[in-house]
Amino acid sequence: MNHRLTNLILIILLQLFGSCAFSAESSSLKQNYLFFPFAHMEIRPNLTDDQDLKTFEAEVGSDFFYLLNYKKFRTLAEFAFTNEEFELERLQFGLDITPGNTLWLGRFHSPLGYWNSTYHHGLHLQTSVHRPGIIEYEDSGGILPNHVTGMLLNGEQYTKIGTFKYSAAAGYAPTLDGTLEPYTFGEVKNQLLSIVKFAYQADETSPTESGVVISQSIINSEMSNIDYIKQKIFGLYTHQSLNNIRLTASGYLINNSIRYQPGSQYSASFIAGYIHAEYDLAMRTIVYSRLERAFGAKDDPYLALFDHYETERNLGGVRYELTRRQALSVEISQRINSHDSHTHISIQWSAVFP
Amino acid sequence: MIRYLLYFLFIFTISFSTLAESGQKLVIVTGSQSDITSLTPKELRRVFLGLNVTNNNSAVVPIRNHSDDMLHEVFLQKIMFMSSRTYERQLNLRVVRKGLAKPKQFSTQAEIISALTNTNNSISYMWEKDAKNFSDLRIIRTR
Repeated sequence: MNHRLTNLILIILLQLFGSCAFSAESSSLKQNYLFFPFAHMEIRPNLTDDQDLKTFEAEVGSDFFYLLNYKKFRTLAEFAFTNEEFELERLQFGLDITPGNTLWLGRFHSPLGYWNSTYHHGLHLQTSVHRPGIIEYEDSGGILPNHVTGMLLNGEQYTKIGTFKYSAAAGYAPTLDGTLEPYTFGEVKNQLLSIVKFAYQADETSPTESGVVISQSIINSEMSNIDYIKQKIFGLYTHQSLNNIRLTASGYLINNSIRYQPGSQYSASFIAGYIHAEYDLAMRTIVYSRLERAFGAKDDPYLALFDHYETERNLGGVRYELTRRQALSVEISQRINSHDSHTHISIQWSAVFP
Repeated sequence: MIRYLLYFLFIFTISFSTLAESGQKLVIVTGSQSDITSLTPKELRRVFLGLNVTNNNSAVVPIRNHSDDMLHEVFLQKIMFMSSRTYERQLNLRVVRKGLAKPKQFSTQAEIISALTNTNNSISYMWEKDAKNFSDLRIIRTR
């Protein structure tokens, strides 16, 4: 079925579901709508030999969230609209098995660490304009499976020494065809992905959290010379928040075994990670910087399949809160990929309503 | 210079005394039929962040009072210890991260009192002088 048509049908179904739910509003039924509009400009003043990137790009769009909680049931839908695409990002149906433990079915974000579990496509909630390259979304050139369709079990256990959290997911992995393409409804050729995340939070009312991620997936290939890729990920992350300083660090060891046609196999590993720091200068201004690095990535055969993966990125920016719900950010970064090294300037307005 | 500083301190003290004497104290309230007796400051913070806190095995339900901007500011300072931006951000993150709805909010006192009396185990906050005017409400904590 046409992808856009599927998305449209899902939106209409959700709207109908929401309308019915509104008419039956009760104390056990809760709904939230959230809009995250944004507009941003990308300027790359010193591009050299990379013909695929543009010197100037502009994008406007919005992320739309719909959430419904009814007794033990939850529904969460996320759609992203831009001047270039219209995409169903998440559609999850959840059941609270016990207090604090929820089973989800549908399409969700893989729990690949702090950033991917916390933020989403709407941009306003994250301070920086761009996500770290290692957990970039698939359609923006990301190299790890960010969207999974299947089953997700989320839970937490409160103890006297803090909260222990877990996420376990199993589902369809993406397909590789120049870029990673997440599973879309109707296709059945993709292979399985499994991922577990364990995290510890000393104080649940504070965002400080640390954890570990382990994942294994088989990524089918549409490329003529590759059958599939077996990918294993081991990751560590921490997010520390102290007064007006926030620090997020994450590191991943990624092993890829590429099965070439007609039967040869090659395996290689690399390490990628980032350190992101934020400082609240005054009531409304945040300065931030991030260092991203990849080690052992130079001749990695898996990374060679992606045209624009950046092995090095130094980034800094300022975010000014125009109002409680709107922000203006200016970000500058130096990026190095397999083709060239260039400067990237981003100017972004983002908001959340209501 | 010292004289001006003393004037300033005097006016500052008088202003605060007047505020306190005029009954501008924030209180945590529940319905008069509710069996919630007390909640610790940490439990209150958890409840209004949408985290699970139980009383007699049923979840405590937070109701946000947006009928008065000053009241909401005092609530953020004295109960949540965070700015309005940080509080909203935490609530929005829970929506997108865990699929948990934000605590309900109302912009009139009548709606808040109705919600408190009709929702089991619900709590909210208001000025003490207002809370004392309603026999349907019971104060469980003064800040």
